Amino acid sequence: MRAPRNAVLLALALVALLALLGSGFITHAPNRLVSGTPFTLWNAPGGWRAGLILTLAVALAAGAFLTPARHHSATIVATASLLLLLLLDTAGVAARDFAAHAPPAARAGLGAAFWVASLSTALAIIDALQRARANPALRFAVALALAAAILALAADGRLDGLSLAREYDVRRSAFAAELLRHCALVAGSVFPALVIGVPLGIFAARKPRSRGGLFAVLNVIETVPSVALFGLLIAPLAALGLSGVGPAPAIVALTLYALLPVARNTEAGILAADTAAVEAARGMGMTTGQIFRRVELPLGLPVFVAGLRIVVVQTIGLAAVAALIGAGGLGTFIFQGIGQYAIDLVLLGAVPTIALALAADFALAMMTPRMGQEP
Amino acid sequence: MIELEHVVRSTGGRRVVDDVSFSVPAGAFCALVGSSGAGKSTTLKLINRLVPLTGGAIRIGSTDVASLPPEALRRRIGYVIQSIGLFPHWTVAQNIATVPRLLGWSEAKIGARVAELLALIGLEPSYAARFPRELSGGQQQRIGVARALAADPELLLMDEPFGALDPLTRTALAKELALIHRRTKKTIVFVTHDIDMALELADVIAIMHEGRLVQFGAPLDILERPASDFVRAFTGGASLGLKLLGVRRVADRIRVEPTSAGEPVEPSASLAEALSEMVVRQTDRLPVKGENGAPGGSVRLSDLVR
Repeated sequence: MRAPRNAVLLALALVALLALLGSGFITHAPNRLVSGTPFTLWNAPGGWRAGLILTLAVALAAGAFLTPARHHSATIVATASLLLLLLLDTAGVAARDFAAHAPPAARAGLGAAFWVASLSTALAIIDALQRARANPALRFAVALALAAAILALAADGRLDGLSLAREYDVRRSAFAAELLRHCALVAGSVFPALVIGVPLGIFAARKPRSRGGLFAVLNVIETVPSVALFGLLIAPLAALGLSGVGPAPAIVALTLYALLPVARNTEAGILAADTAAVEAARGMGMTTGQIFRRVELPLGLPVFVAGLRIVVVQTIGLAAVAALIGAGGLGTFIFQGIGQYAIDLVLLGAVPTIALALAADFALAMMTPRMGQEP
Repeated sequence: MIELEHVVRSTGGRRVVDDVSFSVPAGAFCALVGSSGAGKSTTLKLINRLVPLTGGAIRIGSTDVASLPPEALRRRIGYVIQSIGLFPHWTVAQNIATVPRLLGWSEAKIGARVAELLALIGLEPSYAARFPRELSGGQQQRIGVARALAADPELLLMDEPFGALDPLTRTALAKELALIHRRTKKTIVFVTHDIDMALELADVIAIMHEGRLVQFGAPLDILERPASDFVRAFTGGASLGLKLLGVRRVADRIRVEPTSAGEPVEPSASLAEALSEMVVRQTDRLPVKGENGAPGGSVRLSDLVR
């Protein structure tokens, strides 16, 4: 047998296969609070689907032996996408089938096999796109098509039987409000962090002697655990006449956390245009404005946007913790779920938080200016 | 022509450039030499006003450099630096087109000029679409020279342009620069601390020491009549004789006599090259080609030391 051309794909496909063969695909529980009994893909209802899922997973493993070529990568992306959607649809069908024969309080949850197999499949898609050196537009198209297909499955009611969907169903309006709230918290912290952090970064780049002290302070802030910082802010904010709980301390804390990466990457962006290029630009008669627009900005912006991606993803994640001090957001469901020991409610908060972070990161990556643009 | 008149630059109470006056005729290659800290780089930057003048005046042709906005002045002057400073996010063609674009040339004119310059520096047209990071150091500095020449400036300022390159590349680029100078007839002011490169390339040499101009003259002039012990030590030292051989030309030592056997050498060759040929051919006499159709002659070993 030949050595695999793509060891990553082979590993991912094997992990997915092992998980599907050896662990529970879907879980059944008499109510939402107790852990469910796992059922493997074979024992879960779904008929021909189990066979097709296994066939596609084996096909993916076989894909690892194809010679690296763009059309092969396209086949792998298509196969993996189909597998991902089929996993989701099968889980939905199995859950609906179970719900039809069980009392209303019973729940059908997603098992380990589902999570491992879908994650491996998603990684296989990303890996294939990277190997094919797909341009950003194509990556965007693939991501959009997958998101649209998943939303279509949900809108069609095919996933309604799943516990996660039922948790969502009873909190439909709260979910929309908390999602918006989460986005508002993120925007409300990243924006002031930019307003304060960008000038700090410019200052650090222009005055190297001030750099050490400035970043020492920002580093210390960064090391305070988030829960502690939320708590520490209650007293000073109350002294200022602001509520120590709710969105105010959350936004202050999230802004403080975002300052370090914003300032660091602003500084790095400015220093990215090497001094020789700037000296040459000046010597050839560019004005200060032209040097900034044609040399410093195009060389520094990719570095800055890369930093902004980190800031936004970090803030989306941290904003979930802000629910602890009553700031709202998707973290509300996570902490409610932990309090009630209802894992599906935790997922209702966690999965959209992750999706939001991925979507924001992806959108900013698409906007990153690339080297070699027209002057 | 470029003229420096009692030029002074002081900073922090110290005169970095102290009352320097000299003039370079149009089309001449002037080397500004001296040890580090002598003020040669600062003098160069005073010309395109990257460093402001403290006193005195600089004229290019009949234009006082202070009478123009600095950006307009710099667009009329080519500028090449040791660290090259190509724009990493632009292709070779875009880099070369920097100043023409600042001057608002048409795309067609820019395209033609880029092609012309790539040919001048001996790079294939396919290099136009490459990025600086794909090129060797020598190729990058060739692009640096092409970029400086792009808008056809009357004056080219070069600040240790080959200082960061390996010796082989440096020699090759110096030869190319001599060719480019002969072809384009630009006035060049070239800062270097390498006296051998100055002797080889320059029509006139300005030697600076501690901010002052200590001697200004043709290479042969400076070697034969050093103005001070410093100049003598700086230019020749123990190897003065060899340097003189490198500067003097065969044409000045030619004997009109029947040519001897063997491949004749060019009259424009240096005496050092002639000596090298004699050693290789194991002879004390070389045939020399006639200059401008004149009958040739020969040069003898004893002529070299006259």
